[in-house]
Amino acid sequence: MFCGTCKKLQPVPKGRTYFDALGLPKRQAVDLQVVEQHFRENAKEVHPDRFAQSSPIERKLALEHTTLVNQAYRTLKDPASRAEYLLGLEGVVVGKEEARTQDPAFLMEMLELQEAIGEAKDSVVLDRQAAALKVRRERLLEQARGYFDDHLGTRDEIARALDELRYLRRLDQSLEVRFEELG
Amino acid sequence: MGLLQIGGKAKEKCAGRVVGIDLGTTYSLVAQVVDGTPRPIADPEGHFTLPSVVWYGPNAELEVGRQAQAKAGERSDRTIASVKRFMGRGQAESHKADELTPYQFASDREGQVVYFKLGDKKVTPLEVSAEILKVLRARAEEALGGPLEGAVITVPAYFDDAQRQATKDAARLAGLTVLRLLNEPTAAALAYGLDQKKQGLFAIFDLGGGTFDISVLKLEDGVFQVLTTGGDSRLGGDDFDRAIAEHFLKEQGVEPATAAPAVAARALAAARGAKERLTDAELTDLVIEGKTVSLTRAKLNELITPVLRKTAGPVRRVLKDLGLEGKDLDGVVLVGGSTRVPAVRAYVAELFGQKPLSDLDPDQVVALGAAVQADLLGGSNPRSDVLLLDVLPLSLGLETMGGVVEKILHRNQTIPAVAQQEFTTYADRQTGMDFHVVQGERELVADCRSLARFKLSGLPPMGAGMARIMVTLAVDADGILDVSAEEGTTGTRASVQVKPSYGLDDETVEKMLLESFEHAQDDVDQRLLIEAQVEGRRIAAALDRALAEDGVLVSDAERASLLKAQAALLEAVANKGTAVILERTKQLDELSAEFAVRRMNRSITQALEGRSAEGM
Repeated sequence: MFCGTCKKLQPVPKGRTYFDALGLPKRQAVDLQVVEQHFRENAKEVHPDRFAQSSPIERKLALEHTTLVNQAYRTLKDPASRAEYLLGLEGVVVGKEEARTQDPAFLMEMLELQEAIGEAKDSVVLDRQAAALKVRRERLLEQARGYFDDHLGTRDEIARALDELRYLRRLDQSLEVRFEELG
Repeated sequence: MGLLQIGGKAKEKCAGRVVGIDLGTTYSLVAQVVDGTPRPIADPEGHFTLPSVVWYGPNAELEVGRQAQAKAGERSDRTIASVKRFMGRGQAESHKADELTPYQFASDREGQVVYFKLGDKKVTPLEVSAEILKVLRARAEEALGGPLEGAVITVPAYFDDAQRQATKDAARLAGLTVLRLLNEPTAAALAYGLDQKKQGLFAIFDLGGGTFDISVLKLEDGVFQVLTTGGDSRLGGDDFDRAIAEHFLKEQGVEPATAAPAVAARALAAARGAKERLTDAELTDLVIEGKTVSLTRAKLNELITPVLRKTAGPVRRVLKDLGLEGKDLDGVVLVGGSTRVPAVRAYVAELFGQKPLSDLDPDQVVALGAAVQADLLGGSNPRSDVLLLDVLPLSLGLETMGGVVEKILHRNQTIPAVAQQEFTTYADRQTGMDFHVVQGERELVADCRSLARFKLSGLPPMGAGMARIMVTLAVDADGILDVSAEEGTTGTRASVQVKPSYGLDDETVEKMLLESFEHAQDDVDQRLLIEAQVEGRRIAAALDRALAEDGVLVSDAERASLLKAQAALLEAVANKGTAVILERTKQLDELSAEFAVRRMNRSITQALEGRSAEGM
């Protein structure tokens, strides 16, 4: 990031990934503590506050670097968005038509779960649903880890798994809303 | 060549006259870092706090602070307090119809901008804030001995884009260079954390006069990272005062909503006084409409409890965002004058399941933190081990079909941040597209705050869905938004920059700035005087140093005439105006030219001889 001789901040290199920005290996499995620590270290190096007295060019570069570091942190600290990002690096955008789950049985099931959450009368029912969702989510994330880190399964399978994960996350949000409604 | 040049090298070792300013709802403060420690700057009477009150006299007189407060009794219709609640707000948002208020409002045709009506004069909240900032600036320049190079100004974390812009413009109007807008809780954490060398998770419970903020920060490795923030930009100690005043007015059969501004102002002031006295006392008297009534602490608690309970929602949401409970935190820090109220402390302890910390003066802690940040950004002693990482307080998005918000940047995202979203045309040969930028958490545009509308025109005619329009939202470290849109497919670049408005467009702000410059000749004069005084003192001191070091180079007669000129200069610095000081500075400088040349020659000779050239 810094010039070897003049020590000035350099432009963000083209194709710099979020993993590069945080100095992390390109893997699905990461230690969250390490993500946090790398984020802090990198932010300290490139934050615009460090360049408050520097030239406008350096300040602009600092802003670009920091924005990338912040974006990287936000994306990589969450396992689902990390997996989507990794798949994106392979050229597949989760949520786009070709990666969509078309399985009618699955879609029907999601609809039914959504209704069940909306109609839940007490938090015991919701707790049970939340626990079941968590198990499913973790299974899908483990599948993603297997694909990215150990080359298990196919790209299409993972695209569908991550799409499913999105549905589950939406259900999670509905759960939270319902929890609040029930107090 | 004279002392100005010779001594000039040492141009006042003070690197960066920078300060931190807490522009509060009730009080404002300015602080600076001295020898590594932040300290508030007092006015000549020794007060640190400046009441955020401005009085506009009928003949264009102006008073700020305690003097304005004193006038409030006699001419309340010309006094403006708690102006912060109106920053960046339109008429409708500024004043609920059924609320007790001492103000008369006016509004522009669209109701976009709120004005205070003061007789035949109208002023905007921005101008009122600028008057407060000007007083603080003058106080700081006096204390620091010269014009300020920059200031960090604090804002509630929950301030939206419009409120931040308004604050920045008020500072501009007051002639301040804004180094950074800093969130108040972050400032408090900075003052607190550095002071205590703490690590871990901290909640900052900031209940000021008009705003409530709750933030959770992680302090680790010198990084102050805001994890999440929430609050209510219209909840604070003023609401306590209103609850008390309304209670007693009703008791006397006065309907608060219809109370005359003067009645409201007196009742609110009496209520505030009683509230403050009850921090230590159990019982106090106050006068409402000429009648003395008593208020116990228990009754006070009862009256303010409904207001206090409104803090619970944001607190729970913030903890839930993090998956934490109150007792998991390493500490809860109290900020803001309203946290002095015992009932507030008790309620916070209950909400978090732990006793809150209040080692630092809650009135000062925000300004102290701002001074620390100012020192980090523009001060003498940049430290590389401390960094503040703040977050976006409210999500930013664009309106899509059906009045639904498409969120593009999400709340609690670390800033600076940038995000893009692609849009396309929906009709054949469509050459323009409208965008509407909103801020808020709700799904529908109608429930969010509208920030800006703009049109991207000049698109090349193409089939529907062919154009690729990339909209970029970028938020800088001040939390201020910049929007741009660009069409990509054809290589034609059509882009537009939007500055979100808060009702006042740039032109209006510019006009206000120009007007203020016209009226600000006094300010400029004052500034020039201070500069001349500083320079005069500096050159007088330089002569003393030179004589002490190289006194042998001047004859007795020369010494006498130099000292005479120096005395004349110092007399001018103490008692005369700018022109005389400058004149005598010049005289001393010319008179000392010969001496300066001799000193120079001597040090060169010494250097050539390999001796120390120190003292040059």
